[in-house]
Amino acid sequence: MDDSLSRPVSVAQPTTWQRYAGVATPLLLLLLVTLYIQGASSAYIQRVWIILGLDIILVASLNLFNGFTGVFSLGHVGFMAIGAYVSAILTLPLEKKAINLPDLPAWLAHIQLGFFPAILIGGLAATLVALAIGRPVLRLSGHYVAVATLAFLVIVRVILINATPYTRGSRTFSGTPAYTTVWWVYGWALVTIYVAWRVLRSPYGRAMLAQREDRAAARSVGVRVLRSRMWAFGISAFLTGVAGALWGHYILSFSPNAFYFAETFSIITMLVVGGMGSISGSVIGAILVVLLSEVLRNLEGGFSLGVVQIPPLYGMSQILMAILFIGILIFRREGLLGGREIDLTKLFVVDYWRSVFRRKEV
Amino acid sequence: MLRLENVEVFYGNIRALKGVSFSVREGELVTLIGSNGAGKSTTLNTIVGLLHPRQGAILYEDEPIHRLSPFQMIQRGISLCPEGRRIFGNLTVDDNLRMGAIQRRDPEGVRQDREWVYALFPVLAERLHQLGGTLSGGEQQMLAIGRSLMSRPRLLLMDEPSLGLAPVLVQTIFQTLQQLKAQGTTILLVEQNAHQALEIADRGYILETGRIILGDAAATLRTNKLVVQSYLGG
Repeated sequence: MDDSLSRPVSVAQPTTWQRYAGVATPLLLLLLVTLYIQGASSAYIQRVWIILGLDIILVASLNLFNGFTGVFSLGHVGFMAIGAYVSAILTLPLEKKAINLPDLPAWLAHIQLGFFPAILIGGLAATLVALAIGRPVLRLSGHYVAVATLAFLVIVRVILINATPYTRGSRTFSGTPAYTTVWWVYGWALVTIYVAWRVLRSPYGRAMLAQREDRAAARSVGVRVLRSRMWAFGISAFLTGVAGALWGHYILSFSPNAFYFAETFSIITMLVVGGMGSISGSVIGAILVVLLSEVLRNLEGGFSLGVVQIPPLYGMSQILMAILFIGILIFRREGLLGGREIDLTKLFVVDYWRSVFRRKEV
Repeated sequence: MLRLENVEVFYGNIRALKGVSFSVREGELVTLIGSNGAGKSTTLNTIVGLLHPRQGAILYEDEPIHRLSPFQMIQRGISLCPEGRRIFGNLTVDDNLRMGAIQRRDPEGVRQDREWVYALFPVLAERLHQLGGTLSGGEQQMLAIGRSLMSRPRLLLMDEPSLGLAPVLVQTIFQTLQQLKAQGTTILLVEQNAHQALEIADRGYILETGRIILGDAAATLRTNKLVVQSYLGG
């Protein structure tokens, strides 16, 4: 950084190659695991891997708002719905459009876009809505934002159900082309993480953190609270919309029910488990919750422990996830990472290992 | 430089400032003295735009500023060092200072000013990467002053910098204020510690239940019977 101070600092600063190594290691690991799963694993594992990537985007982008600004949005799944529906309407093949959505206005009925532009438009649509509702909603403080965004989620659902010409109402929207691949998902996941990281280190990110911590103090150093929240809300809504678009082109058939409390709860659990405000926490929260809920779901059907036979307990996994959520809130409110980041750069700094071993000798 | 004319501020129906008028001239160190609830902090918060007056006007360099936001005040060179320090406990010392310069777009100047603040308060330089919340009370006050200096204010508003500090530290803080004044910063100092505030100030005003009851040269106020009785404990 060009603005670092000239005075000596006690902590050894990592050199350029160490920084690169710290970033390259997780990327390489991700690439290898993905290639392995694509080549050698069952369709089930591949599916879990894609869902995990989508959840990483959802949690990291929610964290960009909830974690960085400290005000809680419960309505982000509404942005996901907007991204999914908007992009799916745009990519739906014309002949299917004529059958599934016969009442579509002419300009939409004759349009069929590629995947990438459809994703971008889906994300932008979510951002536009976010900026429109942000102005009144983000003025509120703390819990009121949560309530207002929850109301937004309800409104989105009502609109989706009633905008029948565009969404088929409460009936299933189907015929979406299966464009989403694991590469699309993880490509966007990396974009999301990079964007969150850049935002956090920008003056806007610092303004967000400052108003999160002390609104009055932040205002007195000249932070425009509403503006910094709007930035976070807009960017976060875009990425959530993108995740919705990817999700829609993976699941292919969906209805407004998919974008409601269950999904909201699942994403918020991941966010809280990982720790609000931490980007690496978002990733870890998503991994833990996805893996755990998959394992629990497989056990729901009943299993035997030698002599003891556990009967099928359907719905048990959701109850256990809720208990996990409550447990985190009671015993570790700040989440597993508590707003800190995992910095793999350290692993390549010799002094770090020295200090690790020295501590053990003592 | 700064002039308040008949300013009235309300919290709901409660009239906290009942027509306050006073002025601060360029290069002066003026102190506003009063007991708890007199309206000292309200006055400062109104000047920086955190509160807005219902009546009256605030002029800064002959421009009315009482409808502007805190963001615009900082652009005009007014900076508040808030009561109770209000530093960002989860940010490092260095990041706290950067927060003070959040509006500036000259990284080189910001770097120089951080060096300058560290020269002013060498203790902070030793705590560069420590979280603000782990500092002692005195260090936090220094950090709060440093942060408010990072926007390069021409008018610095200090809200009770001596609050909860040991006498030695109060000395240090007040010496720094004199140093800043010597470097050309105009300062409006709000204090309960009337004795020391009047030592370093050029002029002083006494605020009592939302009204200015007295205003004069600091030296004159020090010998004023009423001031001696009520604020200097003599």
